[in-house]
Amino acid sequence: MNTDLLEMFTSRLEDAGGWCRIISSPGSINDIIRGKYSYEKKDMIYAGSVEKQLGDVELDGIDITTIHQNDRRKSLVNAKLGITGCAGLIAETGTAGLITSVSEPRELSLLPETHIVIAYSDQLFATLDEFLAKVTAEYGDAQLPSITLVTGPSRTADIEKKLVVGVHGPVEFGVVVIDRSE
Amino acid sequence: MIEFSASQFKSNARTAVNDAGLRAKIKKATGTSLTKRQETVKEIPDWEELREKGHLLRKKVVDDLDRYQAAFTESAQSNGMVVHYAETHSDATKIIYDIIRRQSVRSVVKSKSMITEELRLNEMLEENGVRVIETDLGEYIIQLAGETPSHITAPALHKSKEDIARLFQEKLHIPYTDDPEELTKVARERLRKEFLNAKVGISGVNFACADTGTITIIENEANARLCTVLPDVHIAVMSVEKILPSINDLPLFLKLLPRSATGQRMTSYVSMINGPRSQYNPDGPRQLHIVILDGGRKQLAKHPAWKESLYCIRCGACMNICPVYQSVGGHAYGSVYPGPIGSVITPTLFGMQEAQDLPYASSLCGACTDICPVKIDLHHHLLWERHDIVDRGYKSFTEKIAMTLWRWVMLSPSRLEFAGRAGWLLQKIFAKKLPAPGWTPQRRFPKIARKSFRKLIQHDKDEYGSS
Ligand code: SF4
Repeated sequence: MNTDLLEMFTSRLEDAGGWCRIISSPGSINDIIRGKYSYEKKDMIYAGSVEKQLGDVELDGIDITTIHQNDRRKSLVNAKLGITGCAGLIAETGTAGLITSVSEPRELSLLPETHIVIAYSDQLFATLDEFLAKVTAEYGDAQLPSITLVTGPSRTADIEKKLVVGVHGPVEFGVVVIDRSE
Repeated sequence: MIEFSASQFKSNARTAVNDAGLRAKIKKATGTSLTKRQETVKEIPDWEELREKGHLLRKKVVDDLDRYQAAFTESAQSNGMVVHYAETHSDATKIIYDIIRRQSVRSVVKSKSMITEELRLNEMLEENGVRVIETDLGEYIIQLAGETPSHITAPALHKSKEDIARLFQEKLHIPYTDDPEELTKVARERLRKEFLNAKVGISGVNFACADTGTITIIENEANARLCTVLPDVHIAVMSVEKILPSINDLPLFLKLLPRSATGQRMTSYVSMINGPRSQYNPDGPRQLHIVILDGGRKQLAKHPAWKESLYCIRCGACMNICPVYQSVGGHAYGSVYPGPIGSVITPTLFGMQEAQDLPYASSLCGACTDICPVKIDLHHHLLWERHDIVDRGYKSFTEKIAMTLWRWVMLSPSRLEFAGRAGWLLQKIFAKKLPAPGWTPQRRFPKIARKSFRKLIQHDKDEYGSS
């Protein structure tokens, strides 16, 4: 694991108002979330694809793909926490790059008041150039889905330049990085 | 009350300069942005090189607008977007209104976009019975106040928190609070409802990639994400020069823009939208329309020098650093685009005669040119436009006489010597109140020395010998 890059990622994400936790195995994810927030299980919605990657670990909450298409928006409006994966982390700016997919629609990272990204240490890129180059190479001539870069919670400084966190999007944003170096 | 017309610059500026409260608010806001910018630009050792690269890439597109427009259109269409081209401002508003009318809705949500300000889109839609809900907090504030933006990235920069508190109290009927967090919360609650009900969302575009048909929108509040993801129909409005050759050019501009605008390394959100809902994009709007506006840009792109103003990526840094902007604020310019870039493009895009005072709204200090992330030679543009204004004969007869006389004097050492002495004498007679209309009411006339510099040097040489 590139510790320098990970350190840079963490400090730059913190500068942007987000938090980052690095863990050595996925087992403690639920504890981290419970330690930070007191949400009920029904208020937490996650991308099913993320849980699949975690192996034996079951995430607290509801898999979005088990909610009927027509009810998803309503569930997400009422949800407190949205958990997604990502296509990469960018150290230089403290950014998570998300790619839209069936199990990870954009509303999941947009409507709930807290958004948590679960990522792996080998998904870390130094710069946006490297991240985008990887994504475009992966898709080749196929059509790219929409990509969202997230750097911290939603914020504004429209009133006297005073920073206010939590405007129209998530009020809290965090990244859990699972060290996969061994 | 400030008049909104670029022809009123002089009187607007006079009003604004005398408003000490306004000046303090602008100074504070621009100062904050500049300090933050300084910090994050320092982190990039090759900043100057990046500016140069940015300049060249923007030049490449502006030199070949038709080709890039065709390439972007083709890519966007193959992504399932519907691309409309509007030659004039009224064509664009008509296209947008037609799309909205087909949805038979009475209101639309909208995120920040300078092009829609340029189109006066809100006014036109309201006239046709469509309510436009501005969702960027700054835009929401000025919409409630019935005003226009005074800065391209911080539209409500001219308002204090007390101004906003009173506005919310009166218009939204809430108890008075001037706490920015509370005020933001109120806006969040009100607008959440609008987002969830909206059938149509309108946004601007920061960059459009010709190779992949990607439209990129940069923001901090997530209102643009809500406007472009939730509604059934998304209308993205852009001017034709917003195109970049490739998606691979985005990282460069995403380094230059947020740092220059607010001093952030990256804005909270960058949406790279690649199409409407489809098998590739399982969420988002059913229809995605892109309206590309020419609005005089293709004509401007043909001018060998002035085309450079089309390289602008609308970061607002030139406003923040401009001593004139800092003193008069954005509204005085009477244009959608204030500050140095506004003074440069308002005359060339919207009419030289109407905006002939704007190129003079500069001390030509060059701070704007130094800060511009795409290296537009802003202050020289202002100078060239001044030439053009004179060539077109827009200057008054007295000014012309005065300038001809000045030139005649300056071209000969003896005439200059004589003028100096005559000036000194006249100043003595009129007790320093040598009147110069249009000059002395605001400024003190400099004291003319009894002996010219040349004379003093000559005297010293004669006395002490040259060494
Ligand atoms: S002219 Fe340059 S500094 Fe001014 S807004 Fe445009 S890009 Fe920014």
